[in-house]
Amino acid sequence: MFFKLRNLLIFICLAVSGYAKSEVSGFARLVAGVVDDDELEYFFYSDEVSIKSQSLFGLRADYTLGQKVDVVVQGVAYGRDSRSSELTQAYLSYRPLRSTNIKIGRYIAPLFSVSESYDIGFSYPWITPPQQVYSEYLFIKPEGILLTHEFGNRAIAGSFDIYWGQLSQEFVIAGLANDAESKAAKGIVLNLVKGGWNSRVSFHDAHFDIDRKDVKALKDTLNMAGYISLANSISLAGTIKFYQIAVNYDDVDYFIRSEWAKVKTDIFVMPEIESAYFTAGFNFYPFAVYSTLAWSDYSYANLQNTIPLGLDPRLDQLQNIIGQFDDLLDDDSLKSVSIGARYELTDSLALKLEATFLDGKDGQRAFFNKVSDKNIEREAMLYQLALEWVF
Amino acid sequence: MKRLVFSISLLALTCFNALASIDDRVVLVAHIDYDLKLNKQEIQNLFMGGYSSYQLTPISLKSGNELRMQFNLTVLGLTEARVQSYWSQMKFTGRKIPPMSFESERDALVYVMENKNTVTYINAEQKVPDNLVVIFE
Repeated sequence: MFFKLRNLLIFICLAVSGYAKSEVSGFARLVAGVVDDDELEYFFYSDEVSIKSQSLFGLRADYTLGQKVDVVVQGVAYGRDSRSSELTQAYLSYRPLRSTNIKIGRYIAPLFSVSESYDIGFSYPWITPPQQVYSEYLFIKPEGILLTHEFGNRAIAGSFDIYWGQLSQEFVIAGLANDAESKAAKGIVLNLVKGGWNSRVSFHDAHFDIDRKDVKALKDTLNMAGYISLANSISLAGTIKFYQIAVNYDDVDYFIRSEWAKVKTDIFVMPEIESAYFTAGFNFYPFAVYSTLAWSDYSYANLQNTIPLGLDPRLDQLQNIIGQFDDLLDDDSLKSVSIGARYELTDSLALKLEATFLDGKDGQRAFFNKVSDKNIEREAMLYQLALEWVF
Repeated sequence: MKRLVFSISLLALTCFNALASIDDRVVLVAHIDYDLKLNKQEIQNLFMGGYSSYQLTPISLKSGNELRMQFNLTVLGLTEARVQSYWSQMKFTGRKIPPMSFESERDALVYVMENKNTVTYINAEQKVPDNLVVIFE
């Protein structure tokens, strides 16, 4: 239903473009990065300078249909070969009250503090938001409804979001593509602001069906071989629960960004995650400097490989496949320390520099998308330079 | 390297001195026909698109204006860079839109004088027009 709704919204945009008050705006990032180790690749950066991983260009069109209704379409073209350009948002916005806004259509689920503005590098201090927390697969774009209501008094201001939607998208987890569908992704977010402090608490949950042909074939083979319990333990459907807390602070001289997230799931091919970061920065306009500490602890459910060895060559082969499959689900436990600087070239253009020391857990994938030699230490420096633009 | 550090220090010092030389007194005036006093939190909410129980429309000045910068620093408690990055986040997430802004203080004041339930900031040394009420100083 909502896929049709999205197409309908695009059609409305085209149809009303000649009549409604419209505004086109956009954003772009040009990010160059390099890793100082020829045996490791991190976030698609190797030991050769590349601008593909995070460079992007986005356009947004807002059509105002009266005082309370807008139609919004936002698309982004990504520089990375493995990431398709897409319509990230396409929704109708309705404001029944001054303090209430309802989006109907495709939106970015507000899981993290900067989920919705992740592509807008100009809006946050880092070049790469801490990957331990901002895993790409947690950027879900449901098609449904998002309600935001603001409240407050003389001492405090706040808002809450409630959303519900369906989604069908590809998750890349530990370098492996998973087609995922959810008929009911939902969440609630509470945001409170007092002075320079901004705190955020959120809870999200969704039931997912994962379509992985290789895993399904393995489950079928195990069932046929009579290892039903083992086959059942490789679950491709289940629930993901996501908890998040963030505390941020801004004043003229300093800023703090901190966020903690926890993912719990009973889906075998998805990891349980606990991750956090803490950023402290110093402003001396038009410069800002900051440092970030981030860590993550990833773990997959243990697979009890009950297939005996040495009884039958076919069982030996199956036992071997299970072992290999288990190895593929590699953990992403990583600690990192970054220092960075931002310089405002104009009020819509910023130059950033960032150096990050990556310290991954030995023997794990640790977010390195290529490890040439399994025995090497997962340690590297990532250097990045970025130009952030909004227009 | 020493040259670079020196240049950066000099630039930072220049910016700091430029900011320090601005008169830091800003008052907010509203086109209303009743007495009202807002606190800093309420002004922050109003000018940053947060919740406000008052039916007031904030009117701001364009980026680069010294009074705007002073308002950001002393009332909002934010640098111009943070204000800009905040509005880029709000705009592209479809959550809030920045206040209408004018090039000059005079244009902003004229707009407020002509439109009821609007509010803007002026330099404290400036005479407050008769039909406007000071809501924060």
